[in-house]
Amino acid sequence: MFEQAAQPGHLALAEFEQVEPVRVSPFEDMSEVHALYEARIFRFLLFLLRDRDLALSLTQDTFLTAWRSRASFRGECAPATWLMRIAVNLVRNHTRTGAFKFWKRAAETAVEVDDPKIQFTHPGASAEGALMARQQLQQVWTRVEQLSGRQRTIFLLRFVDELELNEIAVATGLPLPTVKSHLYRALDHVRWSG
Amino acid sequence: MSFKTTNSSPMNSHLTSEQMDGLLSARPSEDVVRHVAGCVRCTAEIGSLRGVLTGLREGATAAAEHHRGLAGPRNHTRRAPQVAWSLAAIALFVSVGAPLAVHRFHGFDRPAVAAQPATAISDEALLSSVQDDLSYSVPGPLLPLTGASPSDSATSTQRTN
Repeated sequence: MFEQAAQPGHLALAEFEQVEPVRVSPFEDMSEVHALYEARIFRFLLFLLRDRDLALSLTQDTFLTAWRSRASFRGECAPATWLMRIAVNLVRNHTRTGAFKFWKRAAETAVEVDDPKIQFTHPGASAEGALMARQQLQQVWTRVEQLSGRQRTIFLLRFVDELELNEIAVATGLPLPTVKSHLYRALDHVRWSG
Repeated sequence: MSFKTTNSSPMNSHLTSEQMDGLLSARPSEDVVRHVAGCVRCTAEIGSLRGVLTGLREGATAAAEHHRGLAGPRNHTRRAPQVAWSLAAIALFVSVGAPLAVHRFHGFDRPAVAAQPATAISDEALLSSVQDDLSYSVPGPLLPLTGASPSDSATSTQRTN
């Protein structure tokens, strides 16, 4: 009698053990997520848009959107990749309007590639070496600016944010072969300035 | 494995961009590694490209930090108009609202309802006192005639004569 009564209990315990543990989304603690990824998202948006205020605004929107849709994050990709995807979508929505293209150049907070503040100072390099490196870097920035929006996005995700190709595919919502095609074309273009 | 010559640039006449990306991401194929090991030009190019991309990344990070720093004080300047509007609202309240409030306060200070009966009573008292004054201080000639006076009878006698 006891055995019969115990069997359902054992079965229930076995079923209980097979149930996946409840995963807590990293986006539940938004302050930590913000502290970890805010600088990275801002950097990506700043050099994609070349507008400080717009980059700041879209960075905030990225985290706001992430918080609102945190339930849809299933952990299939890294939190950074998911945030990048939100940021890319926000940029896409924003740049759909023609007004953006017109005001992009005229914006007071526009970031110019030849701004010496954005040039990295080469510690330990001679003055001549630092100058040459700066000129080379400026040429690369100019080349990056000449890329199409999609190529620039992929190039920055790959070489500034150091995402893997499959992560870029997730972030941009593009098929992997398309990502590769855009990336190699962008790299072809940039290599000319090397 | 064949190495394509995609364009006439001397920098990339040996490795394609796909192969270069493989090298940059530390997942190159064995053929690529073998080629780079024996090719001075490709070795120089990959070194140069690595340096440039590292500079690009570090420059972007430094610039992003710089611009985030600039954005901080800017937020304060953006808040300045809000503070100004708040001050203007307070000033408006003080200049318009406060006098109105004070006026109302003083208006309510006087009990209007209680004052009305007091005024009515005083008016009635005033009227009765006027009435009394009139009744007590009327001079004799102005009193209403109650009967025939002696002068009247004299004049009537003279007429008969």
